[in-house]
Amino acid sequence: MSASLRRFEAARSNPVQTSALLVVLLASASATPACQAELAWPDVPLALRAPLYEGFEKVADALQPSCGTLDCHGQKDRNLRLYGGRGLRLDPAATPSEGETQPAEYDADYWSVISLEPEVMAAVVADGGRDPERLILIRKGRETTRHKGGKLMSPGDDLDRCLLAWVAGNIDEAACWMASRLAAPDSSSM
Amino acid sequence: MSVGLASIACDRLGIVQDPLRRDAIAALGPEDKAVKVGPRHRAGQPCGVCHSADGDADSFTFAGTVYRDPGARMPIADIRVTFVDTAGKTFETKTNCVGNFYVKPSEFTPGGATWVSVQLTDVPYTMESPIHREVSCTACHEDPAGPTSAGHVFLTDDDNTLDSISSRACGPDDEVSR
Repeated sequence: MSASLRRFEAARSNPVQTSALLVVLLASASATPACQAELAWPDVPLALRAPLYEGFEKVADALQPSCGTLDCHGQKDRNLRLYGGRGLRLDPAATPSEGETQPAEYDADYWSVISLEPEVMAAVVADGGRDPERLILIRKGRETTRHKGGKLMSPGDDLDRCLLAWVAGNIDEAACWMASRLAAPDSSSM
Repeated sequence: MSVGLASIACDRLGIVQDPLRRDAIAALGPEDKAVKVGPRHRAGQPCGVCHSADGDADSFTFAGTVYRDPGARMPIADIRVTFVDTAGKTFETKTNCVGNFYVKPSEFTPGGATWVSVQLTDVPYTMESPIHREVSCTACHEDPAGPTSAGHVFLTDDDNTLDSISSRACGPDDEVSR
Protein backbone atom coordinates (compact mmCIF):
# COMPACT_ATOMS: atom_id res chain seq x y z
CA MET A 1 0.00 0.00 0.00
CA SER A 2 1.39 3.41 -0.90
CA ALA A 3 2.10 6.09 1.67
CA SER A 4 -0.87 8.15 0.54
CA LEU A 5 -3.14 5.15 0.82
CA ARG A 6 -1.83 4.39 4.29
CA ARG A 7 -2.55 7.96 5.29
CA PHE A 8 -5.99 7.69 3.74
CA GLU A 9 -6.59 4.41 5.53
CA ALA A 10 -5.49 5.98 8.82
CA ALA A 11 -7.74 8.95 8.29
CA ARG A 12 -10.67 6.69 7.52
CA SER A 13 -10.17 4.55 10.57
CA ASN A 14 -9.35 7.34 13.00
CA PRO A 15 -11.30 10.54 12.47
CA VAL A 16 -9.38 12.22 15.27
CA GLN A 17 -6.28 12.15 13.09
CA THR A 18 -7.87 13.76 10.10
CA SER A 19 -5.61 16.74 10.46
CA ALA A 20 -2.81 14.59 9.12
CA LEU A 21 -1.47 15.14 5.64
CA LEU A 22 -4.67 14.02 4.03
CA VAL A 23 -7.89 15.21 5.52
CA VAL A 24 -10.98 13.27 4.68
CA LEU A 25 -14.19 14.90 5.75
CA LEU A 26 -17.06 12.58 5.16
CA ALA A 27 -20.65 13.29 6.04
CA SER A 28 -19.65 15.02 9.25
CA ALA A 29 -18.84 18.23 7.40
CA SER A 30 -21.88 20.46 7.74
CA ALA A 31 -21.34 22.11 4.37
CA THR A 32 -20.95 18.79 2.62
CA PRO A 33 -24.03 16.75 1.75
CA ALA A 34 -24.13 13.28 3.26
CA CYS A 35 -23.69 11.70 -0.14
CA GLN A 36 -20.27 13.21 -0.78
CA ALA A 37 -16.78 13.24 0.56
CA GLU A 38 -14.58 16.29 0.71
CA LEU A 39 -10.87 15.82 0.23
CA ALA A 40 -8.43 18.46 1.37
CA TRP A 41 -4.69 18.67 1.69
CA PRO A 42 -3.65 21.07 4.49
CA ASP A 43 -0.75 22.52 2.55
CA VAL A 44 -2.63 22.92 -0.68
CA PRO A 45 -5.26 25.62 -1.09
CA LEU A 46 -7.66 23.23 -2.72
CA ALA A 47 -10.62 21.23 -1.57
CA LEU A 48 -12.41 18.89 -3.90
CA ARG A 49 -15.59 16.99 -3.58
CA ALA A 50 -15.63 13.36 -4.55
CA PRO A 51 -18.21 10.60 -4.47
CA LEU A 52 -18.29 8.72 -1.21
CA TYR A 53 -15.81 5.98 -0.55
CA GLU A 54 -18.38 4.03 1.43
CA GLY A 55 -19.97 1.51 -0.92
CA PHE A 56 -17.39 2.13 -3.65
CA GLU A 57 -16.37 -1.52 -3.63
CA LYS A 58 -19.63 -2.30 -5.44
CA VAL A 59 -18.76 0.26 -8.09
CA ALA A 60 -15.25 -1.16 -8.40
CA ASP A 61 -16.65 -4.66 -8.81
CA ALA A 62 -18.89 -3.34 -11.59
CA LEU A 63 -15.93 -1.73 -13.35
CA GLN A 64 -13.78 -4.85 -13.12
CA PRO A 65 -15.04 -7.03 -16.01
CA SER A 66 -15.73 -4.18 -18.42
CA CYS A 67 -12.84 -1.84 -17.70
CA GLY A 68 -10.36 -3.49 -15.35
CA THR A 69 -9.22 -6.52 -17.33
CA LEU A 70 -5.51 -7.00 -17.88
CA ASP A 71 -5.75 -5.96 -21.53
CA CYS A 72 -7.42 -2.63 -20.67
CA HIS A 73 -7.18 -0.59 -17.49
CA GLY A 74 -5.72 -3.43 -15.47
CA GLN A 75 -2.31 -2.12 -16.41
CA LYS A 76 0.13 -0.07 -14.38
CA ASP A 77 0.85 2.42 -17.12
CA ARG A 78 -2.75 3.59 -17.55
CA ASN A 79 -4.04 6.89 -16.20
CA LEU A 80 -7.15 5.07 -15.05
CA ARG A 81 -5.55 2.10 -13.32
CA LEU A 82 -7.86 -0.54 -11.89
CA TYR A 83 -6.91 -3.37 -9.60
CA GLY A 84 -9.05 -6.41 -8.95
CA GLY A 85 -9.16 -10.05 -8.01
CA ARG A 86 -9.37 -11.08 -11.67
CA GLY A 87 -7.09 -8.36 -13.01
CA LEU A 88 -4.06 -6.37 -11.96
CA ARG A 89 -3.04 -7.19 -8.41
CA LEU A 90 -1.57 -4.78 -5.90
CA ASP A 91 0.12 -7.45 -3.80
CA PRO A 92 3.30 -8.54 -5.61
CA ALA A 93 2.66 -12.11 -4.47
CA ALA A 94 -0.90 -12.26 -5.83
CA THR A 95 -2.01 -13.30 -9.31
CA PRO A 96 -5.13 -12.59 -11.39
CA SER A 97 -6.11 -16.23 -11.07
CA GLU A 98 -6.78 -16.26 -7.38
CA GLY A 99 -8.68 -14.58 -4.62
CA GLU A 100 -11.01 -11.67 -4.19
CA THR A 101 -10.34 -7.99 -4.66
CA GLN A 102 -8.61 -6.82 -1.50
CA PRO A 103 -9.42 -3.68 0.55
CA ALA A 104 -6.15 -2.05 -0.51
CA GLU A 105 -7.09 -2.67 -4.13
CA TYR A 106 -10.48 -1.02 -3.64
CA ASP A 107 -8.65 1.94 -2.09
CA ALA A 108 -6.32 2.19 -5.05
CA ASP A 109 -9.24 1.96 -7.48
CA TYR A 110 -11.09 4.72 -5.63
CA TRP A 111 -8.14 7.05 -5.82
CA SER A 112 -7.58 6.24 -9.46
CA VAL A 113 -11.17 6.96 -10.45
CA ILE A 114 -11.61 10.18 -8.48
CA SER A 115 -8.16 11.44 -9.47
CA LEU A 116 -8.73 11.03 -13.18
CA GLU A 117 -10.33 14.46 -13.51
CA PRO A 118 -10.56 15.74 -9.94
CA GLU A 119 -11.93 19.19 -10.73
CA VAL A 120 -14.55 17.87 -13.14
CA MET A 121 -15.49 15.11 -10.73
CA ALA A 122 -15.91 17.70 -7.98
CA ALA A 123 -18.17 19.77 -10.19
CA VAL A 124 -20.33 16.81 -11.18
CA VAL A 125 -20.61 15.68 -7.56
CA ALA A 126 -21.46 19.19 -6.42
CA ASP A 127 -24.24 19.22 -9.00
CA GLY A 128 -25.66 15.97 -7.69
CA GLY A 129 -24.51 14.03 -10.74
CA ARG A 130 -26.08 16.32 -13.31
CA ASP A 131 -24.58 16.22 -16.81
CA PRO A 132 -22.30 13.27 -16.07
CA GLU A 133 -20.80 13.24 -19.55
CA ARG A 134 -18.57 16.03 -18.35
CA LEU A 135 -16.58 13.09 -16.99
CA ILE A 136 -14.32 11.31 -19.43
CA LEU A 137 -15.03 8.17 -17.41
CA ILE A 138 -18.62 8.30 -18.63
CA ARG A 139 -17.84 9.49 -22.15
CA LYS A 140 -15.30 6.75 -22.71
CA GLY A 141 -17.58 4.08 -21.33
CA ARG A 142 -20.40 5.23 -23.59
CA GLU A 143 -17.90 5.81 -26.42
CA THR A 144 -19.15 9.31 -27.04
CA THR A 145 -15.42 10.05 -26.97
CA ARG A 146 -13.08 7.81 -28.95
CA HIS A 147 -12.26 4.79 -26.82
CA LYS A 148 -9.93 2.03 -27.94
CA GLY A 149 -11.82 -0.39 -25.73
CA GLY A 150 -15.03 0.42 -27.56
CA LYS A 151 -18.50 1.02 -26.18
CA LEU A 152 -18.89 -0.61 -22.80
CA MET A 153 -22.17 0.88 -21.66
CA SER A 154 -25.24 2.67 -22.89
CA PRO A 155 -27.43 5.15 -21.04
CA GLY A 156 -29.63 3.19 -18.69
CA ASP A 157 -27.81 -0.13 -18.70
CA ASP A 158 -26.39 -1.70 -15.55
CA LEU A 159 -22.87 -0.28 -15.63
CA ASP A 160 -24.13 3.14 -16.67
CA ARG A 161 -26.69 3.26 -13.86
CA CYS A 162 -24.14 2.05 -11.36
CA LEU A 163 -21.67 4.82 -12.23
CA LEU A 164 -24.25 7.57 -12.54
CA ALA A 165 -25.81 6.73 -9.20
CA TRP A 166 -22.38 6.84 -7.57
CA VAL A 167 -21.44 10.28 -8.89
CA ALA A 168 -24.91 11.46 -7.86
CA GLY A 169 -24.30 10.31 -4.29
CA ASN A 170 -25.96 6.92 -4.20
CA ILE A 171 -25.02 3.31 -4.63
CA ASP A 172 -27.29 1.37 -6.98
CA GLU A 173 -26.43 -2.02 -5.57
CA ALA A 174 -28.58 -3.98 -7.99
CA ALA A 175 -27.16 -2.28 -11.07
CA CYS A 176 -23.58 -2.58 -9.80
CA TRP A 177 -24.05 -6.24 -8.98
CA MET A 178 -25.48 -6.98 -12.42
CA ALA A 179 -22.62 -5.11 -14.10
CA SER A 180 -20.11 -7.05 -12.02
CA ARG A 181 -21.58 -10.31 -13.34
CA LEU A 182 -20.88 -9.52 -16.99
CA ALA A 183 -20.98 -12.85 -18.78
CA ALA A 184 -20.93 -14.19 -22.27
CA PRO A 185 -24.29 -14.49 -23.98
CA ASP A 186 -25.34 -18.10 -24.13
CA SER A 187 -22.23 -18.93 -22.15
CA SER A 188 -23.76 -22.23 -21.14
CA SER A 189 -23.03 -23.55 -24.60
CA MET A 190 -19.35 -22.70 -24.43
CA MET B 1 22.82 -8.86 -33.46
CA SER B 2 19.82 -10.85 -32.34
CA VAL B 3 17.84 -7.66 -31.95
CA GLY B 4 18.58 -6.75 -35.52
CA LEU B 5 17.50 -10.15 -36.76
CA ALA B 6 14.22 -9.95 -34.89
CA SER B 7 13.48 -6.55 -36.33
CA ILE B 8 14.24 -7.78 -39.81
CA ALA B 9 12.07 -10.85 -39.33
CA CYS B 10 9.01 -8.95 -38.27
CA ASP B 11 9.53 -5.46 -39.62
CA ARG B 12 10.95 -6.48 -42.97
CA LEU B 13 10.15 -3.24 -44.70
CA GLY B 14 11.01 -1.01 -41.78
CA ILE B 15 7.55 0.50 -41.77
CA VAL B 16 6.79 0.18 -38.07
CA GLN B 17 7.07 3.72 -36.77
CA ASP B 18 5.87 3.29 -33.20
CA PRO B 19 9.04 3.12 -31.06
CA LEU B 20 7.30 1.06 -28.39
CA ARG B 21 6.27 -1.50 -30.97
CA ARG B 22 9.74 -1.53 -32.44
CA ASP B 23 11.09 -2.26 -28.97
CA ALA B 24 8.53 -5.04 -28.56
CA ILE B 25 9.55 -6.51 -31.90
CA ALA B 26 13.20 -6.39 -30.90
CA ALA B 27 12.41 -8.08 -27.60
CA LEU B 28 11.02 -11.10 -29.44
CA GLY B 29 14.50 -12.18 -30.40
CA PRO B 30 15.44 -14.06 -33.57
CA GLU B 31 13.42 -16.74 -35.28
CA ASP B 32 14.22 -20.35 -34.42
CA LYS B 33 16.07 -21.48 -37.55
CA ALA B 34 14.66 -24.97 -37.16
CA VAL B 35 11.09 -23.70 -37.53
CA LYS B 36 9.71 -22.37 -40.76
CA VAL B 37 8.03 -18.98 -40.45
CA GLY B 38 4.35 -19.82 -40.44
CA PRO B 39 1.71 -21.31 -38.15
CA ARG B 40 4.27 -23.15 -36.03
CA HIS B 41 6.70 -20.31 -35.40
CA ARG B 42 7.26 -18.34 -32.20
CA ALA B 43 5.01 -20.47 -29.98
CA GLY B 44 4.33 -18.80 -26.67
CA GLN B 45 5.29 -15.33 -27.89
CA PRO B 46 2.96 -12.31 -28.20
CA CYS B 47 1.69 -12.78 -31.75
CA GLY B 48 0.05 -9.37 -31.93
CA VAL B 49 3.36 -7.56 -31.77
CA CYS B 50 3.71 -8.27 -35.50
CA HIS B 51 0.29 -9.66 -36.44
CA SER B 52 -1.75 -6.52 -35.84
CA ALA B 53 -3.06 -3.65 -37.87
CA ASP B 54 0.02 -1.53 -37.26
CA GLY B 55 2.48 -4.40 -37.49
CA ASP B 56 4.20 -5.77 -40.57
CA ALA B 57 2.57 -9.17 -40.82
CA ASP B 58 -0.91 -10.43 -41.61
CA SER B 59 -3.29 -9.12 -38.96
CA PHE B 60 -4.86 -11.47 -36.48
CA THR B 61 -7.93 -10.85 -34.36
CA PHE B 62 -6.66 -13.19 -31.68
CA ALA B 63 -3.73 -15.58 -31.47
CA GLY B 64 -1.89 -17.56 -28.88
CA THR B 65 -0.54 -20.85 -27.66
CA VAL B 66 -2.33 -23.39 -25.47
CA TYR B 67 -0.51 -25.71 -23.09
CA ARG B 68 -1.73 -28.75 -21.25
CA ASP B 69 -1.71 -27.53 -17.67
CA PRO B 70 -0.70 -24.59 -15.50
CA GLY B 71 2.64 -26.18 -14.64
CA ALA B 72 4.70 -27.47 -17.54
CA ARG B 73 4.62 -25.81 -20.95
CA MET B 74 3.52 -28.89 -22.86
CA PRO B 75 1.79 -27.73 -26.06
CA ILE B 76 -1.36 -29.60 -27.02
CA ALA B 77 -2.70 -29.98 -30.55
CA ASP B 78 -6.29 -30.14 -31.79
CA ILE B 79 -7.76 -28.17 -28.91
CA ARG B 80 -10.95 -26.38 -29.86
CA VAL B 81 -10.65 -22.67 -29.13
CA THR B 82 -14.07 -21.00 -29.15
CA PHE B 83 -14.82 -17.31 -29.10
CA VAL B 84 -18.17 -15.62 -28.44
CA ASP B 85 -18.77 -11.89 -28.42
CA THR B 86 -21.40 -9.81 -26.64
CA ALA B 87 -23.81 -10.25 -29.55
CA GLY B 88 -23.48 -14.03 -29.34
CA LYS B 89 -21.45 -14.32 -32.54
CA THR B 90 -19.10 -17.28 -32.30
CA PHE B 91 -16.01 -18.60 -34.01
CA GLU B 92 -14.07 -21.78 -33.45
CA THR B 93 -10.58 -22.81 -34.45
CA LYS B 94 -8.06 -25.44 -33.35
CA THR B 95 -4.51 -25.49 -32.09
CA ASN B 96 -1.75 -27.04 -34.16
CA CYS B 97 1.04 -29.35 -32.99
CA VAL B 98 2.89 -26.61 -31.12
CA GLY B 99 -0.30 -25.37 -29.46
CA ASN B 100 -0.57 -22.29 -31.69
CA PHE B 101 -3.86 -20.95 -32.99
CA TYR B 102 -4.86 -17.77 -34.74
CA VAL B 103 -7.99 -16.00 -35.92
CA LYS B 104 -8.00 -13.71 -38.93
CA PRO B 105 -10.22 -10.62 -39.16
CA SER B 106 -11.88 -12.09 -42.25
CA GLU B 107 -12.94 -15.05 -40.15
CA PHE B 108 -14.10 -13.29 -37.00
CA THR B 109 -14.20 -9.68 -35.91
CA PRO B 110 -16.02 -9.40 -32.61
CA GLY B 111 -18.36 -6.62 -31.67
CA GLY B 112 -17.18 -5.80 -28.19
CA ALA B 113 -16.05 -8.00 -25.33
CA THR B 114 -15.19 -11.57 -26.29
CA TRP B 115 -15.10 -14.67 -24.12
CA VAL B 116 -12.91 -17.60 -24.99
CA SER B 117 -12.86 -21.25 -24.01
CA VAL B 118 -10.47 -24.10 -24.74
CA GLN B 119 -11.70 -27.65 -24.98
CA LEU B 120 -10.41 -31.09 -25.91
CA THR B 121 -13.23 -33.29 -24.68
CA ASP B 122 -16.78 -32.37 -23.70
CA VAL B 123 -15.79 -30.03 -20.91
CA PRO B 124 -14.76 -26.50 -21.90
CA TYR B 125 -12.37 -24.44 -19.84
CA THR B 126 -13.64 -20.88 -20.08
CA MET B 127 -11.72 -17.74 -19.22
CA GLU B 128 -13.58 -15.78 -16.56
CA SER B 129 -12.70 -12.33 -17.86
CA PRO B 130 -13.51 -11.28 -21.41
CA ILE B 131 -11.00 -10.01 -23.93
CA HIS B 132 -11.58 -6.39 -24.86
CA ARG B 133 -8.79 -5.27 -27.16
CA GLU B 134 -5.76 -7.54 -27.03
CA VAL B 135 -4.67 -9.75 -29.94
CA SER B 136 -2.09 -11.79 -28.05
CA CYS B 137 -2.99 -14.21 -25.29
CA THR B 138 0.56 -13.76 -24.01
CA ALA B 139 -0.04 -10.10 -23.24
CA CYS B 140 -2.02 -11.18 -20.17
CA HIS B 141 -0.84 -14.81 -19.98
CA GLU B 142 2.91 -14.52 -19.80
CA ASP B 143 5.02 -16.77 -17.62
CA PRO B 144 5.59 -16.64 -14.77
CA ALA B 145 2.21 -15.82 -13.25
CA GLY B 146 2.34 -12.69 -11.11
CA PRO B 147 0.45 -9.50 -10.30
CA THR B 148 0.24 -8.54 -13.98
CA SER B 149 -0.14 -11.96 -15.58
CA ALA B 150 -2.26 -15.05 -15.11
CA GLY B 151 0.47 -17.34 -16.46
CA HIS B 152 0.28 -19.31 -19.70
CA VAL B 153 -3.00 -20.49 -21.21
CA PHE B 154 -3.75 -24.06 -20.27
CA LEU B 155 -6.32 -26.71 -21.06
CA THR B 156 -7.01 -28.13 -17.62
CA ASP B 157 -5.79 -28.19 -14.05
CA ASP B 158 -7.53 -31.47 -13.28
CA ASP B 159 -4.79 -33.80 -12.08
CA ASN B 160 -6.97 -36.83 -12.83
CA THR B 161 -7.04 -36.16 -16.57
CA LEU B 162 -3.57 -34.73 -17.18
CA ASP B 163 -1.90 -38.04 -17.89
CA SER B 164 -4.43 -38.89 -20.58
CA ILE B 165 -3.53 -35.78 -22.58
CA SER B 166 -0.39 -35.81 -24.65
CA SER B 167 1.33 -33.92 -27.42
CA ARG B 168 1.46 -35.21 -30.97
CA ALA B 169 4.08 -34.97 -33.68
CA CYS B 170 3.79 -32.23 -36.27
CA GLY B 171 2.56 -33.12 -39.71
CA PRO B 172 2.28 -31.36 -43.08
CA ASP B 173 -1.10 -29.91 -42.19
CA ASP B 174 0.44 -28.00 -39.30
CA GLU B 175 2.48 -25.96 -41.78
CA VAL B 176 -0.48 -24.79 -43.82
CA SER B 177 -1.74 -21.26 -43.30
CA ARG B 178 -5.39 -20.53 -43.82
